[in-house]
Amino acid sequence: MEKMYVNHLPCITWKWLKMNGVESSDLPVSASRITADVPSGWTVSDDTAAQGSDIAANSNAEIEKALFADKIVTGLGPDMDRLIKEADVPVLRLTASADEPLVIENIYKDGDSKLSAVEITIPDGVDAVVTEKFISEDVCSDGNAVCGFQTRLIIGKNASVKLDQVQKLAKNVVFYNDIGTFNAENGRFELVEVILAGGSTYFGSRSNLAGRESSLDIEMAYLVKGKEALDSNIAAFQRGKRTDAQIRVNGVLKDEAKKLTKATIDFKTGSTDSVGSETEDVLMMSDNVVNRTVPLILCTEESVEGVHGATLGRPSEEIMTYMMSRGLDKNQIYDIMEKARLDAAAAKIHDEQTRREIAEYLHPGEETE
Amino acid sequence: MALLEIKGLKVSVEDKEILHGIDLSVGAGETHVIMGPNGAGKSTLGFAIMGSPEYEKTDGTVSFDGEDITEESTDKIAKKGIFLSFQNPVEVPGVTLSSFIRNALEQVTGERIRLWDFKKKLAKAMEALDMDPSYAERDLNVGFSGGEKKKAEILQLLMLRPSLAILDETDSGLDVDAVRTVSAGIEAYKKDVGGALLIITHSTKILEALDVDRVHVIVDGKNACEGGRELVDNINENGFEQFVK
Ligand SMILES: Nc1ncnc2c1ncn2[C@@H]1O[C@H](COP(=O)(O)OP(=O)(O)OP(=O)(O)O)[C@@H](O)[C@H]1O
Ligand SMILES: [Mg+2]
Repeated sequence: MEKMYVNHLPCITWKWLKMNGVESSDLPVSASRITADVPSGWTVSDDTAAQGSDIAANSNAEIEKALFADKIVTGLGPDMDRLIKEADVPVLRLTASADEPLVIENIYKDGDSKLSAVEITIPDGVDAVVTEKFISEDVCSDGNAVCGFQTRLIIGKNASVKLDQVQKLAKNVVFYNDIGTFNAENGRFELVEVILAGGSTYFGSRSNLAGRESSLDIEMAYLVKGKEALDSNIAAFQRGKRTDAQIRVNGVLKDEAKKLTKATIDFKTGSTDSVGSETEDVLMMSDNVVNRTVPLILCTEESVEGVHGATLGRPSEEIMTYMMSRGLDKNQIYDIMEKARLDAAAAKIHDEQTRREIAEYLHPGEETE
Repeated sequence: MALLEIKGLKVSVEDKEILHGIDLSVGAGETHVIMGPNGAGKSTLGFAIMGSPEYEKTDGTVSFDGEDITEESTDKIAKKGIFLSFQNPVEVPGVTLSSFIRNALEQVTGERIRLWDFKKKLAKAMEALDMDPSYAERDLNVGFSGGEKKKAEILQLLMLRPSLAILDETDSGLDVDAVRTVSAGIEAYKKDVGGALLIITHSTKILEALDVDRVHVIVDGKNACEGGRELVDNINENGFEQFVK
């Protein structure tokens, strides 16, 4: 594969022509086996073959058809599946247990071109906790690396998975972070996504809310600075009755950062009494940032309720005066505001060690709990 | 030499002159009261002293501790030791009360504070003000009731220990018990820190336990009258009518 097309918007629009998807030729090529301490209660499958995909990456009709056939289609999309297959990535297939959380730590070095994939089945009634870290060995390095990671989650009846992801990558790293879930009846997917650093990030997460009363809750916080870029595609495909999708994105853009967030709530026929909401709140700390948001609510069902909201800006003059009257200067206020956002999302991460690492990164030399 | 010395201060907001030449002098450790009808310019004076950029000083000077601070920025004025308790405290989403005070304290003292020591001090001050400890981890002023916001202002006063505190109607919107608690907080500040107070108020409750050195009446952006504590009682009886020309 020479080029990959990712983050296809679930509804093509002329208005947003340039935001429908992105083509990239910076691709990770070498298969990388995931090394993780798999907790004893979890089982590892011998089958490591990647599935690939025969769906066109830019065909919403084909994507929809696959979703209706109970397949997982990830946020980045079918090209990522093809890339994984082509690179012959050994997929780590796990069956979760509730007893112990799984932590997968990926440390990337300069020059790396690693591609990995994990697929976790959460059996009926099981509540699993998974932490995934994507970290540059030296976050201050200016070396290049192109890496990718895919997480597929098959969530059983009355099962849930809490996935916490933390990304702290160096400024010239290109990273593809791909998530796809299938939610059976009352199956719940909770994602805490904390993006602290990374040169060029493609993030995609799509949930197939097939089961009745299945749900998803995404809390994403990002800090994009310098010349970094973040392209996200978050999609909730709501098929079951009374499904619920909550997507909250809180971000900070600084310097010459570029960011595009696509968040789609897609109520399909039959998703009676479903609800969905997507909000994004962006703090823009410089006039040179590029902030784009495409909130979409698609609807072929009547008795559903979708809400979207986006707010952006800088702290108001009132807030600035108030905080300055306590001795803080402009830069300190910006710093406090920006870290507060990331702290709030980080506080929701289940793994204590990971929380501590984030605190140490955000507040170097400072005592924290 | 007075701690705060204001001479002929004129202040405009959006090109409209609100203060037309105010004089005011407050000595270290003294307690002064500012009274005046609604819209007289009392809050404007507080914001102007604090260097709030919206309030343009077109004439006159403000000096503090012997230094001219007329053109100084708000954060620097705060660091020099002036504190303004806002009439309408501002909600700051995303920043907790605790982390805000800790950051501010590190700025005004110029020192790193041990987290443990800070938490202990904060908890003690909150207890004195009869504040629920859980408020420490709530977003600053967000969803606080009017009275709770005022208490949070006094909490900041107690933690930041300025040498001059301007209290803009800190007593309004407080229930009977809260007025008593807040008054106790202000007394504690006087006793422990020995700072000066400039109290803007419409009521006398908050003044009961304090030794008032001087009372200033401001009407229509000008000094209308000045006197001792007895002026407060006079106003309570006769209103501001007598000062309006
Ligand atoms: N930011 C502002 N923008 C526009 N007008 C203002 C502003 N601040 C003050 N003013 C005007 O200046 C005048 C004085 O207001 P100020 O708030 O200082 O009065 P005050 O004496 O504090 O009254 P109160 O007792 O009601 O609090 C009022 O007419 C007010 O409308
Ligand atoms: Mg006022």
